[in-house]
Amino acid sequence: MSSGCNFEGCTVGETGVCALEQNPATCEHRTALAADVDGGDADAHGDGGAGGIGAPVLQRPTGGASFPSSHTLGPEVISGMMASRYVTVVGILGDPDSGKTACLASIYLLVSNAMLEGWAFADSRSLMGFEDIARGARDWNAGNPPDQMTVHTEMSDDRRPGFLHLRLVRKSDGRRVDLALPDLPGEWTTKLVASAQSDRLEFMKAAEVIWVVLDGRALADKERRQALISRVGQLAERLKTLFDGRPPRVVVVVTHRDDGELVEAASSRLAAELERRGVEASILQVAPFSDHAEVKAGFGIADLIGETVGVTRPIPDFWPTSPLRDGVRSFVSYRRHR
Amino acid sequence: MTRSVVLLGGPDSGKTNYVGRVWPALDTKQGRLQIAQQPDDITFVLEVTDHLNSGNFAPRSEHADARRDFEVIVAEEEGGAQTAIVIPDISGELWLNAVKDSEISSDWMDELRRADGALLFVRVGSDQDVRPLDWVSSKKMMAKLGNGEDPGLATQVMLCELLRFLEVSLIDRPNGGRPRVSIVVSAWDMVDVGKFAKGPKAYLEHEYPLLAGRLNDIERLDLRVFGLSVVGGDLKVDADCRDAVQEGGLDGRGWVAVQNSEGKWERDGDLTLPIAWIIGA
Repeated sequence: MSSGCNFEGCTVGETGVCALEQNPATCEHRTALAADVDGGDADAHGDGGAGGIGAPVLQRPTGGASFPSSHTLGPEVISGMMASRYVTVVGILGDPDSGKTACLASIYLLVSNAMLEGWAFADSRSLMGFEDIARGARDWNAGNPPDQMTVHTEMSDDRRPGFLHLRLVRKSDGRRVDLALPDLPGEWTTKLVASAQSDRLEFMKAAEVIWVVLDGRALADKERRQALISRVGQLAERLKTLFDGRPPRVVVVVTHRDDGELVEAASSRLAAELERRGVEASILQVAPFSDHAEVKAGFGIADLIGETVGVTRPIPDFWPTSPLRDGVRSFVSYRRHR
Repeated sequence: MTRSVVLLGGPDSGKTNYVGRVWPALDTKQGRLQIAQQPDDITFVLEVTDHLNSGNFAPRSEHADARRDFEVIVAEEEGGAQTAIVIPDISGELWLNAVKDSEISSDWMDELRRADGALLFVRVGSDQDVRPLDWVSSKKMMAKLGNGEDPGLATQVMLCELLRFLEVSLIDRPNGGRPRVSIVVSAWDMVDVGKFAKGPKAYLEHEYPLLAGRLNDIERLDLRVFGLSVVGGDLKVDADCRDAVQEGGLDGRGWVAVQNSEGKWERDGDLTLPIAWIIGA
């Protein structure tokens, strides 16, 4: 039904032609208002003039002009960036409340204050996204620190990860690195471990390194430790499946270092569990925020960045040498010998 | 051809006072740029120069919605090629909102796309300056302050975003060169001798690490950093400076800090330099 007509299914508004093959100017279904306007030139000619049949119901708002958003970025934006420069995609996994977002907020706050040791800020395409997660942590309750330093990550789109981008310069050699850091809800990891739900983690196949973030307090607690370690083992198996048996480097990031150092029993069990599964991993302890004066907030974060971008895997020999054979047209038949 | 230069900057960053001071500088015809003919409408600049001449800085224009363009035809020398430059002055509050919403009015977007370059202002010691969140290192202080008033978006984040806006909207120069942006650190007379010698860029590195990082990383824009003092002192607290302005006017007052060929920072009395560099060859 178009404006000015009371007949259900009227097509004049959209097409300018009456489906009942009647003349719109004399149609009995036209409302009184339209009949009044009818006298006007525009409608009399059935051309959908201003205010008549076919005219827009609402006026087009005089909108502003938008700049590309700098809140969290969609995977397609990261893909676009990867086309023009080398971007290190990091996969960040970990159960809810393990400290994934806290690590991201801590990195941002450290670079904002030029306190990330050995590194300086160069650029971020998601500056407002970082601001959002850091600001979420400022909700203090009448002077008391909140139980959780960062807000619980919820995705506006449950199927697509939101990325944060950060370009850093290493002070020692001026090397620039672009990091694409996803801020994922912990439930995604829980679901991956428990029910192999990995379709929305497809982007991880582009990841160069995977951070498996573990709550240091759970590892310190004897009652919770073994369960957590066995879940890490299961996660390693899931990663092997996801990456067809060859997962990228894994960095196990143990948070809450300020509550105490990781006990030897836990770290050796953790290392053994990962080794048994054939997953190459290093263990790092960090304190994104600190409740204790003896450990500074941001402890270990610079090492985490260094570990993420600094270590490269051995590159396979691109063009292996083979023994010389006389009388063979090696160049022409090179590919046949491969 | 009308060329245009856009002034950007947060609240209280010194844009309006610069426009008010650069007008008499153009009028005296002593600098790199000079007026070729008197513009039709000089109400806005006259109002600002009136404030300066009376020994006061112009009041903040943050809540003025209307844009107040200053349009003037300039030449690099008497009888030389003329260029009309439009310096649209818009309140810092509007820029702040543009950053928060990633959106500006279509008029302004058109203005940016037409502009040959921009001056980005940041002021030393402004009470409107918002420091970055620092509770990583100062948790105790945060616990004491509690859930106080949100100070708002950090100044350095806003400046980075404004640079990004310029990066995506300014078009290349007619000769194919990158668009030019002058970073103007105003109230540069307030820094001590040591900071002056290190230059405004070092100051930005210390105060705004994110902005300084961006300045070093930007490829799309041609950037140059200037220090600026519109009258050579703080009219609010420096009685000598105020007396000198009231008695002798603005002539000879104010300077721009530039780096000479040896890399040393020095004062240059030509206040038109930040604009002259943008439209110059």
